[in-house]
Amino acid sequence: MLSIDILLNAIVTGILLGSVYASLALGLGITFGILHIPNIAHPTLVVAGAFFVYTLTQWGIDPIVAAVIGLVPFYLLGVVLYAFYSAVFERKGGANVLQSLTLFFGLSLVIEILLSLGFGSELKSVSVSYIGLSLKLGVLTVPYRLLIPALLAPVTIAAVWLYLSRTNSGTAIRAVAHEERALSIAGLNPASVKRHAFGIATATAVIAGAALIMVGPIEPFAGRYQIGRVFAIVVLAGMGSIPGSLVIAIIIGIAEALVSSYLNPSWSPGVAFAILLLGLALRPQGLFGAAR
Amino acid sequence: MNRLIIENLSAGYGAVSVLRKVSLELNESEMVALLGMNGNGKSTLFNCILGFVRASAGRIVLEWNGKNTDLTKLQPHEIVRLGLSIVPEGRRLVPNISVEDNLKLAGSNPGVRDRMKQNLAYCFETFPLLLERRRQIASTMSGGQQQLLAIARSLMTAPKIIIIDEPSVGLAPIVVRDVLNAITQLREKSNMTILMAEQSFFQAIDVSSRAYVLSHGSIQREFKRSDGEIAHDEIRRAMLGAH
Ligand SMILES: Nc1ncnc2c1ncn2[C@@H]1O[C@H](COP(=O)(O)OP(=O)(O)OP(=O)(O)O)[C@@H](O)[C@H]1O
Ligand SMILES: [Mg+2]
Repeated sequence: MLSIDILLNAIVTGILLGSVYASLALGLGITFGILHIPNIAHPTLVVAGAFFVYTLTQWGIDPIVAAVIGLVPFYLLGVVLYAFYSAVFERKGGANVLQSLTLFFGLSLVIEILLSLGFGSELKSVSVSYIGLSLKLGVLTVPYRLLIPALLAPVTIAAVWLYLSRTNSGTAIRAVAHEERALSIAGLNPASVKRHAFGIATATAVIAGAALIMVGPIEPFAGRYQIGRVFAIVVLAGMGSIPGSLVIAIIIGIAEALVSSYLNPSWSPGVAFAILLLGLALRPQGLFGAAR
Repeated sequence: MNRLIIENLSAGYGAVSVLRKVSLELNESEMVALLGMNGNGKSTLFNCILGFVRASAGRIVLEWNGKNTDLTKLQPHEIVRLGLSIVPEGRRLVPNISVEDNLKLAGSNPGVRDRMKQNLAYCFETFPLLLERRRQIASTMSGGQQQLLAIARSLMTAPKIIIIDEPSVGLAPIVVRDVLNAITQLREKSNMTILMAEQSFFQAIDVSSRAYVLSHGSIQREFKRSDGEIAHDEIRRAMLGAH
């Protein structure tokens, strides 16, 4: 039987979950969507962010405050990772996609193993006063452990997008993959522009990590389940369309919630791909991407 | 005297050598033409000066205000910050951002960004068309308009020297006139030092004080306006590689 309150709850849960997915995809939207570097380690970096947040919450720090504290160290981590990546590849005339994928796959394995060694492989969660509670609005029950992380996405995405679209350094980031030489001609070092962008992308991983560990408990290998979904979001939004990725992530979240409520919860991981295939058949450049 | 000197420069791509012992000089406030047919190495020479192609031998020295800098070991953005700017082959604009953003990007490097406003105003004053179209996405402009944008962009880095690679290539004759007028105007307005490559040389030599002919990767001849009217036939012969 189709009851309206199950439907409404599924939709609201989907919107909130989708918003969390958007946080997870944001960094990839920068590295892959804008810089065209297929950083499949991004979900693992998000998990590393979650463990960073977990560690600080053990000392009584609020997870969101912990994420803000993590911005600078994760930015620096991203800068170091990019420096390593470019030392390995770009100096030799650029990496091909397969080589980059291998490098980032290896990187995510290393991070996963380090996390397992440091934290063990059992699930970790954060306990904050508001996390067990729910907001009740008529027939809707919205748990705070979903609502609060969901609110992080629009804020972070807006901040990143304003930076990219309104500042000169943002313009340089948007330009570098299209016409690297235009940056050199402008007297800007393309390598340091990319390093900076990679740093920002990695910094968003700690925010996404906070969101992820608030939603539910986490283990070191949790990133693996997110890779397909975040790539689907970035590609479907259209490479480089950061605000579009929020819309796509929410569509995927709603579809997943409906599929698990009405069909079978075990099908929901396939939903993102079904939507990706359908979307790309209709608009190969992505839903919000410009034709190229 | 302020100048750029190139001495015995050789360069190429991998095993293919393109430039062989090229020597030339460019003095402050001069406009010099570099003439040569397709594939004789004009763009390679310019890309060497800007650091995009590495020299295998020879020197490129910027002598300016009593300071001598060898450019051959520097990266392109460092060379640009020293005051060389280029209007490159293929223009190399950022296609997906606006005219104004293309200009601002060039004006945002640490060496010049505190003068961004003045530099932008100067560009718009010199090229009113770009002011009108400042919100237009670069790739949606016509070839001639994009060429003007590429020239304007080269001003944003406050250059001592501008290097222009075949500004007229691919443009309709009437547009070519506009582009060359813009360059001439730039000369008259600010006495800019310019090195410009061309193969359709009629207009180029009219506005230049000297011309080098590059053939098969070497400087074949040098023509000076001070030696009298430059005969077109002689240039043509030199460009075809006759001695
Ligand atoms: N990236 C490259 N890799 C290999 N060879 C190149 C490359 N660029 C140019 N060449 C070769 O170097 C030679 C000189 O080319 P270059 O572009 O410098 O000539 P040009 O005088 O600028 O010609 P045009 O008037 O057609 O622009 C040509 O034989 C060309 O094929
Ligand atoms: Mg050329």
